[in-house]
Amino acid sequence: MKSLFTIVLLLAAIIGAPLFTIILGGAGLGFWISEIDLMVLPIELYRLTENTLLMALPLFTFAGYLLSESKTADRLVALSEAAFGWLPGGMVLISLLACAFFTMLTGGSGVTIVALGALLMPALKQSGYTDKFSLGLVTTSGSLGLLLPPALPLIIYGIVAQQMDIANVDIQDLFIAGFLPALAMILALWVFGLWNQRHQDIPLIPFNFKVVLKEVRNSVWELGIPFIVLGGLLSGWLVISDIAAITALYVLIIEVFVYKDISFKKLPKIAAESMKMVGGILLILGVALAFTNLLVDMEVPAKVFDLIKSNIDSRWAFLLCLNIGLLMLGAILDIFAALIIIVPLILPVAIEYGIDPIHLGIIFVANMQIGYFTPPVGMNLFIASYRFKRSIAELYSATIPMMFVLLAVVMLITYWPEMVLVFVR
Amino acid sequence: MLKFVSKVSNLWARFEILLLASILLTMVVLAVLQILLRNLFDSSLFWIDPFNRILVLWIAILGAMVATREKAHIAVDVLKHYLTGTSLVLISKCIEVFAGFICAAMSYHSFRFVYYEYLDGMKTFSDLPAWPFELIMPFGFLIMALRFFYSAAFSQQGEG
Repeated sequence: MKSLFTIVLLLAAIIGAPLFTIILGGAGLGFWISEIDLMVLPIELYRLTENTLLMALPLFTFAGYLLSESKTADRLVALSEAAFGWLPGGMVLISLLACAFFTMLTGGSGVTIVALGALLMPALKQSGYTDKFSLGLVTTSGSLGLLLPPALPLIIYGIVAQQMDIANVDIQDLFIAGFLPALAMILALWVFGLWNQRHQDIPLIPFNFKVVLKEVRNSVWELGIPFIVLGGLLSGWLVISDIAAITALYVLIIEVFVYKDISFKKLPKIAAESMKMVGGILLILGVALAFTNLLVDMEVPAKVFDLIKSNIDSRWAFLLCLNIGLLMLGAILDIFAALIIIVPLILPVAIEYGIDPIHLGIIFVANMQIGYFTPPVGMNLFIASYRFKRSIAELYSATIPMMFVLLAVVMLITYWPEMVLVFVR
Repeated sequence: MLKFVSKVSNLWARFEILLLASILLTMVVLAVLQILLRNLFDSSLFWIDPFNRILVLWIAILGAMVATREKAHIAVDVLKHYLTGTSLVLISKCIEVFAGFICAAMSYHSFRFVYYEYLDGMKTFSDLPAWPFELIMPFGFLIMALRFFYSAAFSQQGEG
């Protein structure tokens, strides 16, 4: 009976059953074999109510969805066009910054491509960039900004690490450490754009201070958002969940009452849409709590460590394997689910190899970010293919050069821990 | 009969969305109120923090219920990108039956959990009984199970 259930579970995992059902089934099976009452499952799920930090997830996501449903993207692009249009490759930089801004609030769930794609694709082509380059850039940028505060993946990483009683993992530190790597990615793609499109005739927009001032005035309320997030974070007055609550209320007020982009009637639908995504993640987190405890009881992390230790002897080799493994994982698994499932297994091992937990968090998210558009199955490739009505093969060839650019940055992040940790340790 | 079921389920879905939106708004307002009280008036309402943490659980399960209805759960769906027609429908039905059974089992054990908490008279914040706040677990999973089974039995689409 038990082995039959194991087979069913494996089959369900292969054919793509919802992840939370597979984890629940796996945890249930494990407890059943250990002869523990399955009532432990709801008890573990109820532990979701023990962590105040978790409030940050629904609140930030709600704020992000509100922004994506209003005309924030138009205002943001108009402003950055006025401010950076005079730079060579200005439109590339604009796209990168706008995407990063959006993704940091929505967690790179494809919302960026959907919300900004229709705006940036024509704008890029109109400025003189080739179709293939524009397509690749927009798709690649769809997951840019995952490392910028209030990066949801970093919050999840912090929560998982704290749940395992690993010392020294502070969410604030994770945010600070993510800043330079994110900047490096934006700059690398910009420089690549300059080089890649050097034969195109791209006219520069002359800088006009009056226009900049006008656009700043237009989007002044939305420019307050980074100030709330960063101010709250760096001042140390507020915890993450407080910042999330203030951000959500602030965005709600400006989009409904100041800009009037969102009618009152649309609010429930936006709330449901955003919570559909968060609910899925939180539920996986909740049931994974049970699963992680089971793994620890069965001493799985120790066994994983022994297995790795007997095959890999240096820290550098371990990091290389980690890179490859995470890239593959990122291509097939949602970033949040991957964090929840893999971090409990990998973190203790990485610490044994002398890797800083903060550094590991950044490596993890940076790799998964590339996974979003790694052929053949990166999620954003499918979203972009659907959104821009292009064949998936076209998207492969458009994104692959940029994938290698970001891969180089990820290598830098992985093998130069001092750069990542410079402001933290 | 089927028509009646789909009518009830549509009404219920609207209720679900409204409930989800009101919980989210309550959470935002309470959290900001708490920050204001703490920083400006140097006081705080003790019950806000535990209450908001329970609301997170409610959001998690209600959100997952909506995701079940709209077939938008996170899954490793590599296989599905390459399947079409009958095989896709068949695979989707298998997935739904499996997911339905898991949710039904979870619902059953959650009911037991809530029942024991009721018998033991467990308390949560402000000395309120804990069990009504926990009811979302059994009911949420029950509805998810029903949705999975319903879709496995009647849905024509090839989505899982």
